[in-house]
Amino acid sequence: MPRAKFRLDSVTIEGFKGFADRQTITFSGKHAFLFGKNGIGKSSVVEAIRWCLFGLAERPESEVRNAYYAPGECQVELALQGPGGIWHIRRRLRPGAERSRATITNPAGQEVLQAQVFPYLARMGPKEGTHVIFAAQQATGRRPQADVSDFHKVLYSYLHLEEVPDLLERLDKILEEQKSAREDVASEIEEIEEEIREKLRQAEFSLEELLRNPPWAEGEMPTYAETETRVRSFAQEIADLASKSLGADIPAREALEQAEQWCQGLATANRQELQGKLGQQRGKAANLRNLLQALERIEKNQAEATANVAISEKELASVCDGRTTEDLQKEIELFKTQMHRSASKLEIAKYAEQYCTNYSPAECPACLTRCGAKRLIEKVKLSIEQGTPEQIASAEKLESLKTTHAKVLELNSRLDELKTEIQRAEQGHDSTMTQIRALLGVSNDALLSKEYITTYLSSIDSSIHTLEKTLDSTESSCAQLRKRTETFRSELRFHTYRDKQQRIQRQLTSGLDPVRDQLRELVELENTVHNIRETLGQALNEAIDRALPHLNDMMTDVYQRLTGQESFEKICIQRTNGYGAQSLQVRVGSERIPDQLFDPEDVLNGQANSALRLVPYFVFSQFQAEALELDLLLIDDPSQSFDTSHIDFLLQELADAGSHAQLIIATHEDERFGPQINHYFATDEYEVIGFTKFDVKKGPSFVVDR
Amino acid sequence: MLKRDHLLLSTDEHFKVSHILDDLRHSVGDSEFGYRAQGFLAHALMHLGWTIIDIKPQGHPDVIANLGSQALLLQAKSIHGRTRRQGFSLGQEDLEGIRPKDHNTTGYLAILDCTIPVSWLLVDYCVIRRQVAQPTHVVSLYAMGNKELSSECTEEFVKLVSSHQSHIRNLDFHILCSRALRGEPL
Repeated sequence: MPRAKFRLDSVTIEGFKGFADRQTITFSGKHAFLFGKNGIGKSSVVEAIRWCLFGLAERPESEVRNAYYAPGECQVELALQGPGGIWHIRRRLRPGAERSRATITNPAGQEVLQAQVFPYLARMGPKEGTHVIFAAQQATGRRPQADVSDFHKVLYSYLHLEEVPDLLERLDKILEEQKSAREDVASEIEEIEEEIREKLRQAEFSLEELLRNPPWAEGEMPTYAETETRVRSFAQEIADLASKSLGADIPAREALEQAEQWCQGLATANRQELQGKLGQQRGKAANLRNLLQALERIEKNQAEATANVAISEKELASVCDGRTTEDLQKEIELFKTQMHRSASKLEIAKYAEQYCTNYSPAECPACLTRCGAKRLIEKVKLSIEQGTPEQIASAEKLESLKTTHAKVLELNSRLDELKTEIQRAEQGHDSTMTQIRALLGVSNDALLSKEYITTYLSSIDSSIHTLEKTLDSTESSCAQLRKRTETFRSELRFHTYRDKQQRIQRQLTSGLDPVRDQLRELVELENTVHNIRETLGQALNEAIDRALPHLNDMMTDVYQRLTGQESFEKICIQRTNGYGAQSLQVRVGSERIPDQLFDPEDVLNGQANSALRLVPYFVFSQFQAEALELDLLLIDDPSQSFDTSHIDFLLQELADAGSHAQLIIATHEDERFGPQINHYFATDEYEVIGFTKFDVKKGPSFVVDR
Repeated sequence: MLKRDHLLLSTDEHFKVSHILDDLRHSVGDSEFGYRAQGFLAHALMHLGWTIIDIKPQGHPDVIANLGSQALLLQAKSIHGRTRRQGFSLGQEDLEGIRPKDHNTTGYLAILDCTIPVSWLLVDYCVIRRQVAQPTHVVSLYAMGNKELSSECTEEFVKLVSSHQSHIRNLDFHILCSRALRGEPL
């Protein structure tokens, strides 16, 4: 059987696990049986080889460092017999470092990359101490690796389909990523769609609001061109009214705005003009009306005064009774004189009476007539009695005259006042008439009748009424124009909303096409990956299903030879769904119960289980030997893995494996292995290395037994 | 007469039909609406040249149609605003109903998406089977759907609903089914 390209020539260990000082164990490309008691350093050799090749990725590497080794250096170097001489793999964990670093040098001492020498360096090891290491030939590009716990990998390798599960796993990952990306895009698109739909709802709501009272007659929904024509026509109409010019290319909306401004301008100008005229006419009418009233008042006063003059004059005439005031005055003066004279006489008579009474003269003292005192007194008394009524009558007459005189004076005064009043009224009348003439714009010498003025006032009132009607009419026209403007604005708004609605609808349909196409591409890619995955998975399962019967036979054969199992003598691989570690399960069974298979963990003892784990190696490595570059079988203490009561079975299998693999077997059962090695291996094919003692500071001591 | 007719006089028919269906659904209820959607789908297919073999009010698939040696199995569903936002989820039974039995048969999930603009969405069994029992964005289903067949069904459906808009409430499931099975257009 062809051997692998590389063979282990030696291993040099320093500061690794039980090893302290640098020591080299030479194998010279042969198998090696490391014998010695437990705890003496054999396992450190097996571990050192494994560590040098793979490091300790899953655990802190400081674990492998020998804590008692003072220099702190930790390194293992493998010397490999290979093409062109000795190749070196050196792994070093520098003092204080957390991670190790490996280097490979070719026989010329040049550093090369692992990928260039052992691109598919792999191992299988069910547990510490048992390692199967092999690397594929670079040219084949295959990656054989095996472990019962990774049985699916062994099988895929055997079927030359070792890349497929990884591929399926990658496809699954891609599918997950694709699905996630697709859902993200879909979610974004749905959000965008929902936003657009909301906008559409708002636009439609606005349209519905507007169409509750459509700005056009029922059933006459205008096209935009119709609305535009109507708006332009309306704007032109306003432009003509306002004596403005409407641009030919001005858009409908701007034309409407322009028309509205002109409308407002027109309305304001008309209103101001009319209101000005109206104010003027109203003022004129009010003035005229006031003047007329004043005139009437004056005339009335004048008439009243004139009437009063007549009455007063008549009364005066009556009071004076044909006399003048002077006559009355003279008469009063005369009476006053008479009154004075009679009063004097009366006074004298009274005095005389007093005298006569007091002195009883016999004669009148005045005329000296002798009549006696008595007679004299009688005469005096008679004189007094006769003189008093006259005086009273005169006094009454005087009083009457005085009253008449006072009345005459009063009447005269009143007449004067009335005449003054009449004069003032005449002046007022003239002044008012002057004002009226001025108001009516006629010359001062023009004759103005009251009728004329009244007619004139009526004409002003009529003019005011006409102006008021014109103003109302103008306001109404402006309101009409505003209403038409609003109607056109509503129409334009309708078209705006409808354009918006249609634009949003387009956004919702064709507008999102690019992103939908992108989503479709994602889905198509996902479907393609799905299809590839399913096809590949199906092909893999079919290949496995075809291979399983033969494989079961081969595994049963090796298993039987390794363990001599009688209770469960048959190995059967069960395929389940999926392609991972659990997809192929190793089951054991028996011809005695053909329909039942069992989990080995449940029915086999520990040693049989351990042996079972190496079965795939023995089965598959034969098929791959020619493809390997490095093929090492490291077994630390086979008694942990095999039923050593059947050591001959084990050695036979190891010898078979040794035909292509280099074996490194460490065991404390040298008494049982030693005598039988020669039966299965030629003496020049192996080295026996005896570990004799162990020193914590120096490490293990060993001798090569040739 | 629809309240929105006036508004919709000049808008896209697909949008208009969405509103018609919205009113119909409110009028007849979700369940009956689903049946009618099934019936309309049969008629749309009939217009596309398919012969309707069976329409099932209960069980799966909802519609079976033939065209020459080709057979179609369709499971119809309808979605609208709220249900659409929740994402679409297809049950295993619905899927089983459209599983093709031979190479001449194609199974489709047919979704009537009533959100504006209305459209039928036909997704091949081979694609939709991967989405079973997991809510999927409806836009994703659009991307998965048979664009051409979906579009054809939508166009025929929109024509049908538009032309029968005035008496659409009278076209119940029984009428739609019996006519489709007799090959009588509406």
